[in-house]
Amino acid sequence: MSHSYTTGAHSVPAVRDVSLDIGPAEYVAVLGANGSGKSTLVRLINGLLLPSSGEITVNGIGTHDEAGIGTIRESVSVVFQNPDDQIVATSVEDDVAFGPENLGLARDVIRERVAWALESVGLCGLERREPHLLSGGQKQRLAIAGALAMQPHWLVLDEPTSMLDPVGRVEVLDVLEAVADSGRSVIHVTHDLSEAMRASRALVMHEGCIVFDGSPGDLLCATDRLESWSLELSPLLTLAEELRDHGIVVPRAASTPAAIVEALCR
Amino acid sequence: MSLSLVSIGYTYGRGTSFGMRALHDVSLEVAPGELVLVLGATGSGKSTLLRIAAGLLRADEGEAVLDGVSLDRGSARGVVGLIFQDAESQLFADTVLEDVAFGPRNMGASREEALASATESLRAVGLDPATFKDRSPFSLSGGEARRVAIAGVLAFHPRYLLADEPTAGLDAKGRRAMRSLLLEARAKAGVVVVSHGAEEFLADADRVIVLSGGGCALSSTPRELVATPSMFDRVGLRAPDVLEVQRLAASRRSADMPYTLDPAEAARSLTHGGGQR
Ligand SMILES: Nc1ncnc2c1ncn2[C@@H]1O[C@H](COP(=O)(O)OP(=O)(O)OP(=O)(O)O)[C@@H](O)[C@H]1O
Ligand SMILES: Nc1ncnc2c1ncn2[C@@H]1O[C@H](COP(=O)(O)OP(=O)(O)OP(=O)(O)O)[C@@H](O)[C@H]1O
Ligand SMILES: [Mg+2]
Ligand SMILES: [Mg+2]
Repeated sequence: MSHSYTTGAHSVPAVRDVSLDIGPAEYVAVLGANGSGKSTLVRLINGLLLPSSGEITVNGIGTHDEAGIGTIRESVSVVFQNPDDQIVATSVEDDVAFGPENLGLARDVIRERVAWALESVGLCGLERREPHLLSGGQKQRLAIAGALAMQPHWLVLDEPTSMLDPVGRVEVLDVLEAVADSGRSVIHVTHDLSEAMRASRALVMHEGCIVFDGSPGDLLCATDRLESWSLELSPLLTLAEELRDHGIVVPRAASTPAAIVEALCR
Repeated sequence: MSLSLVSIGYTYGRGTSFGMRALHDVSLEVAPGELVLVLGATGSGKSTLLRIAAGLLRADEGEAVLDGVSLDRGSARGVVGLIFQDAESQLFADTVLEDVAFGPRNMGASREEALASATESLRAVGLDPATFKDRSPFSLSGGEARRVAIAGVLAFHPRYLLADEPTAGLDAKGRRAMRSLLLEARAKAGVVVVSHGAEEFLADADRVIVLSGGGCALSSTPRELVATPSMFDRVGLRAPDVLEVQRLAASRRSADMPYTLDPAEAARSLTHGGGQR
């Protein structure tokens, strides 16, 4: 599939001739430079945009199928890049309940889901607050809670941790891992290679094309190409590399301080 | 010359039943040539502090002074530049170039000067002017929009530059560019950077303040913080990963070592000297 935006006299090709198959229970990290097409891919997956050519199907239903788009939206939940765009209600709890209510779930199920989702992102205690008046990171957590409460088959998140503090970031990443472990699929757009290490599969986009599709560990080995894709090892991953240069065996999957110390002190 | 906030307090919706006290007894001082890093968890009051420092909100306790005069919207105009956390929301013009040129134009620059300054700023944030100048600022990717907003503030060369999470949403090249732009700006301006993670700007800062629940939990120097990573825990933050590795290793081996933020240096001290069993 391909997608170009047309604005006035300009036509901007954003996704070029991409073919992609994402199965159930996959945790896919999507990386790439600013403007490489990640958010466009996200909008194509949930049918917010229709491809200029090619097609996308979700569980067999095409996103161009007007009768099926409702079903797609129920199984695909998206956390968009800008949390302000997603606020729909005037209180935090109503905002999270909005999606599940549209699914027609029973009242107590909704209540349970809302409580669980808010707990998962650490927003307990802010249930009655007005979403527009939250801090940046609080809004981002709220957007994530809204998507979690849908318990979708496909959870798609566009840079969900960009405004979170390091503690909140780890909490959210742990939740995403738990979601993937429960047999659902996670598609997680990020600029951060150490976040991508948690995924089972990494995709790199470059000028609208997918230029890497493989394990996150293998991505780290593509050291000579990372720079051209505007990716960079985090300080922790750099430290792991340096330790390997000193002859320490550090597993590729080691992406937390604890895991690296484990390797060091073995 | 300095931008100085002394024992500032601020309550959103003051006097109403849903009043929210976002800051109390916080002080911040920055002079041209300095870089102050403001850290703190989600909701700790960082953006509120910057809004006050930019004259957009008026502190309801304490004193706010800008180069010897009372700080308000008027005195801050053109002198203090704020890169908002949701920088994209600052965009408004029909084209990218007009948007970036607005600041210098507003400061009284001629049209040519403003456009030249805007073009230069676009280049500085890594956007090719030829490709982007005529585009609508509302049809950009997240990171591109952020860069345009940053360029818009840089273009009028504020004497005080306040940046709220300036690298959020930027790719690796963008983050590096942002860091060197802020360091360059410091040559002439006072710079305040708000960040969640200590990792990115700690090494560059002259001073660090940590907010927690709207109060000032710590006012320190990078050197002190790096030397005592446990200070991060005490104020509810996480130590940068590289420090955390050194600290965990030191406690496992019950041997201390001089802490460093530099991964290469850390690897050397972790593998040789410095506490090998
Ligand atoms: N609404 C739009 N109209 C026109 N062009 C657009 C629009 N949105 C994005 N583009 C362009 O499409 C390309 C891909 O944008 P996209 O938002 O998918 O990138 P991205 O990988 O998500 O980048 P970022 O990391 O900055 O969020 C970019 O060149 C961008 O300028
Ligand atoms: N306009 C507003 N009205 C009422 N309360 C607000 C408003 N803006 C922020 N708050 C509240 O004030 C507190 C401080 O918010 P602030 O935006 O300064 O936090 P922050 O440290 O910048 O957080 P983040 O890291 O998430 O951006 C938060 O509890 C927030 O919910
Ligand atoms: Mg994007
Ligand atoms: Mg903020």
